[in-house]
Amino acid sequence: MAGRPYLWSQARTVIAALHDHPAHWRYGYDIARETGLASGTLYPILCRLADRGLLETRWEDDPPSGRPRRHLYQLSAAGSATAVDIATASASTPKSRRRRLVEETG
Amino acid sequence: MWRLLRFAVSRLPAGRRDFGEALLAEAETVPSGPRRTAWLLGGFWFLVKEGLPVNVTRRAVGWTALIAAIVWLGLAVEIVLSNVVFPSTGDDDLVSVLLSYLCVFAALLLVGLVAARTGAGPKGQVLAGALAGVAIGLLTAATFAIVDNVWLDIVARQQPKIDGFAHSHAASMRDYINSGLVGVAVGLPIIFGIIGAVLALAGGLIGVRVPARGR
Repeated sequence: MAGRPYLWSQARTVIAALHDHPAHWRYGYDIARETGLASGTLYPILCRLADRGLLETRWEDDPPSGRPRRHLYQLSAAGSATAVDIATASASTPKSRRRRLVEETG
Repeated sequence: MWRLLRFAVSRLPAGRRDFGEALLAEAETVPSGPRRTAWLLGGFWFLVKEGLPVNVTRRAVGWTALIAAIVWLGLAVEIVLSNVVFPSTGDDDLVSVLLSYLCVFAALLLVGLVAARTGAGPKGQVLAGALAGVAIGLLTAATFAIVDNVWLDIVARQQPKIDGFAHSHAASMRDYINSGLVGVAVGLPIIFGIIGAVLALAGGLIGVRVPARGR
């Protein structure tokens, strides 16, 4: 994680959720359902990620009638790189190494 | 509630307005009931966190609310004890009143100290102290209103109230007491709010200068 900003665990969860579907633009309620985060926690995180250039945002172009326009989110190139860093770092923790060993040895 | 939220979102800084509008737009698609209520309550927190020009953390808000609640509970007990359980007809509660004020001021100092320790800057400390002061003032005024009206027959035996009523134009003792409570309900939160802002700033300075135990 050298050179990358420190991210707290809930922000990592959001990044991981967005990284699971890198080609998709996601909307707030969708991310909230997947991560289990409350709106009051999720949206400040989205703001911080956008501030740090880790998140791209745009408004939906043609919303179906009867539904308000959605604000959409996708990881930027820097955000994707951070997601890879997070995944690599978490895979190399003693806990995850132990879990892999247990899985491999049955 | 929607109008209030929409208005608050429109007052957010430019970089946050899109996110606030997004949160409200999503709320319309969240299933109605507890989920939507929770979503909107989260919206309020988002507005507080992103709309105020200070660093607001849940820890700081939680501690401020806890300290204010404890102080109010203590004051409420003291008010009931001195006015209802052990009522006095004279004006001899100077010591307990002074002690109550000292406790309130110490608590407001503590609010600033805790706010500083939870990462709030000077503006956040002032805001926490002011809000705690206003909350304590409002709750205390409400407690007086309840006690004075519910146990009017006991409270009305206090000599200062009898003298005050005699020199007033109020139609009844209840009217006299309640007209006085209006002043308390307005004045106490303002005074405690101002004192809270000042003392919390002082407490914040102590919190920054005195290292925390275990650090």
